[in-house]
Amino acid sequence: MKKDKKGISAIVATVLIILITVAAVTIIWAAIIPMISNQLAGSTECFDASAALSIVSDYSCVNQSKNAADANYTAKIQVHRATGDFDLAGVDIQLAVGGTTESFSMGSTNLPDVNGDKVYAISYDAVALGGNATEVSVAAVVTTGSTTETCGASGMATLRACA
Amino acid sequence: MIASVLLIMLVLFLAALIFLWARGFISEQIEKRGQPVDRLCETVDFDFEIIKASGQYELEVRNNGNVDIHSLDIKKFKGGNSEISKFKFSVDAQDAISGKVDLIMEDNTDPESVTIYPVLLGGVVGKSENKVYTCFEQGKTVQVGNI
Repeated sequence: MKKDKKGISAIVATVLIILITVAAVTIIWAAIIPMISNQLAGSTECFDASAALSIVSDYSCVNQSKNAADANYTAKIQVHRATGDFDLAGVDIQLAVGGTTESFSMGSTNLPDVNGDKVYAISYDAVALGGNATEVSVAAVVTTGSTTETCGASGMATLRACA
Repeated sequence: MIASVLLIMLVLFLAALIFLWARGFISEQIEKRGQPVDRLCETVDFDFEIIKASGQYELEVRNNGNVDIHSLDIKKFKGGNSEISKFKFSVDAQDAISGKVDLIMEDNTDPESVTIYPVLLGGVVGKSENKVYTCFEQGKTVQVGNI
């Protein structure tokens, strides 16, 4: 019986292993990177957006009705938008009312410009919510790729009564 | 020997991939005259005057510095709300320009105050494209009631 079957040489084997490794890395790279990039882009956009939006106390106040039976209170909230690399899709305002936090979406059309301000008027049922709004915070809604994400809210600012 | 060469090529290939990927996290930098445009903003020196004549506003801008102003961003402010308009007022260094501007707000009222920000044109680092940069720190405000 002849033993003339030859295996592949060590060099060819090494080349093949390297080629397979490179191909595997490329495939994994192509599959995983877009996934990681989307996640990172979302978090960096939110990081910028959360730092950029803030409550300005100048025009922020709450109307305290003199009539105790009047359930509809109005809060005026001034939001400032600083510079930052993010695509603002909306603004959520959170009012601290009666020990709970109520979130109000301000929509996606009337948004503050970069380095600009907007005053939002919010009507709420003070009786149903159990009291008057005492504090306020703002959260940005950002667009990342094809999805929108609501970012973490800013720190709470105290609301004064409107003059 | 061949294995070493292939190994080095693999390392270079991976390094190039990582470099291209990581470059996406570095924010775009705009330069003008060889320095970051935000630093050049500090040297912008301008003043302006707004005149109201027969219901229309006229803006005169004097560029006292050595940096060309590409355009102006005008922030109109009233009652806690602001609106930003972009005006194609190009003012060369040591030059002045005047023209009519629309300062009426969306609700057809006059603003309480107006802030003007100079906008510079710089080149994007690593690319052959130009981009504008608004010098928000150099804004100057005038009360419209004083006009």
